[in-house]
Amino acid sequence: MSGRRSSLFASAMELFFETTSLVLPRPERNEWTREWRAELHHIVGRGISPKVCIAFALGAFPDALWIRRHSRRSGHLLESPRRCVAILAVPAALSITLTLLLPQVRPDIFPPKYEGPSDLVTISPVPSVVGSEMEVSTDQYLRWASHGQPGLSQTAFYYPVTVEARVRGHELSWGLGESTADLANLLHVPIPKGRVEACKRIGATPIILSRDAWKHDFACDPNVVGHMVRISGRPAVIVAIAPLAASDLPLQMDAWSLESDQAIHTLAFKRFAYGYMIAQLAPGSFRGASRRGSRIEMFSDDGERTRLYIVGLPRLAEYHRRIPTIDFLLSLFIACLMVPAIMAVCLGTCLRAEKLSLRMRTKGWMFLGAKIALLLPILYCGPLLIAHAAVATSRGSRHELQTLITVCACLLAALWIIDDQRQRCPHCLRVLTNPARVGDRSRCLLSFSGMEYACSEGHGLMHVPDYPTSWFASQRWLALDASWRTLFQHGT
Amino acid sequence: MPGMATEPKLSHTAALILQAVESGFIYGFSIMEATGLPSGTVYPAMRRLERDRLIASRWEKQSVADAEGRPPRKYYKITADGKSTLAASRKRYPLLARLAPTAEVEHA
Repeated sequence: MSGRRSSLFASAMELFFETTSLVLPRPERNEWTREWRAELHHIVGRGISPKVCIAFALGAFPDALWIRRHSRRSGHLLESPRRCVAILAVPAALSITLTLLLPQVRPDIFPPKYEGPSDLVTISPVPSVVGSEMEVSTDQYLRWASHGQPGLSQTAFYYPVTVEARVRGHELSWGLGESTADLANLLHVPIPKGRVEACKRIGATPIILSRDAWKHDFACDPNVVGHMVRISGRPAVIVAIAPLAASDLPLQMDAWSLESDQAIHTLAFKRFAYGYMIAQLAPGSFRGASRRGSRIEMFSDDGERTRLYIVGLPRLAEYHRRIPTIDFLLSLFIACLMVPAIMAVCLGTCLRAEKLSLRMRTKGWMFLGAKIALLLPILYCGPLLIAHAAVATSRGSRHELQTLITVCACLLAALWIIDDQRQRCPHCLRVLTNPARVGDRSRCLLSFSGMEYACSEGHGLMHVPDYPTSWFASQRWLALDASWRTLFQHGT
Repeated sequence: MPGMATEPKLSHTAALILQAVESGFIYGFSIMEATGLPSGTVYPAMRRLERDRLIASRWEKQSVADAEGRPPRKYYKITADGKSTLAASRKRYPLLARLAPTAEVEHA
């Protein structure tokens, strides 16, 4: 190693030992760090490879944990409020940093802005941006498509289905939009001339691949166009990659197959063949409607007029950008609803003990707020990172896994926050120690039976009943005056 | 019960480390090299042995380290209790003596 690299390496190792030493009880830190530093100095001096040095240094962590576990002076890892906040800050910072730095994860938090044509709209029976509410039947679409519609220059339709796709030897579950051929024109997808006809000649269905599927299932392969895949056993050829704007169409599809008119007409005979109608606004008509939304009257050949709504793709894009936040808030809400079913939602006497000064009470609330504030980024980014690591390919499965992890993590976090706050001294916010069983279980429930915890600083005792009675329903804090402090001077 | 052994029973790993210390490998990394065990195993095991008073540690004199321009090192040596425990462990693990590394004494 060169001199500069060697000193950088040594500094990184020093930092690692210093950080790891925080696990140890304070009086043991100096000697422990001194020993590991000295050992590393000798190893580096012998010219041993950095890989071996790092493997050696990593052993410091189990060593520190062992000392902590077996030291008489060590207490709860999150004993002091400062240490608790510092320890929570590490995974919070780590999860935020990883989410922002990893190119596969970042777009899930900050989806790219809509940069497609501003005149593209969906025609929907309700003024909604939720995919499942925007469907129209294939039969209706065909009746409208056969009649010129005022204000619209062209229209397209796709019917969403879930299919088994065989891609490069892997079976994947894809969301496929069986669409009319106009969809490619509408989305300005550049398909080389004659490619669609060439596909049809060999009996393959031409498909447009979504950007996400291209990234995840084909690893951004630049030569993917012309690649053959099998969709539900049928051969299909990728004729183009969809522009970014296509990812804001209702129901995020992995691909769109360009079906013949005959196939779309066959769809109309299906009872529940509901899909999405996309249109391009004629120049000058429905000004600003793509952003704000507007009403439109659709005409069919038999003279029937139907009132529908225009929902612009820019508006849908805005909604899609908000989905991760909406999902997270919903998961948080579900978890909060589940908490009272599992434990009593009561913060004990930590924040409302009698004779507790306003300053102490504020400190307690601030500590609670800090814990929540640090847990939120962990709960938001952590499940996303885990879902990306666990399910690299299927976007749908990843989203489901992420939601499941988020709900469970939010629930566990809520339970921990309440439990941790209850176990703390209302004065110094340190975790209560020295648990002792007090009293006997009485048949008539007239004597106290439960656990007694003490504050290591001598601020008081917490009594937690084994079973709630009318005269001792929840835990109680017994404040001790200053004369008791001499008993607790060494924190034992 | 009379006649019952009172020496703490060591795991094979701990006995190997104790054997290495007795053989003269007196600091953490040399024990790692002699036994082939990783640092995450050797150091916690040495803490345990020291807690049970089977080995004792001492810091090298600052003046010696300063003269050589390096930080002082922590050395370990086997105690009398450690020697008797090791003798009992050798009976329990007959192959221990064969696995024992060759003696090396540094700064002892």
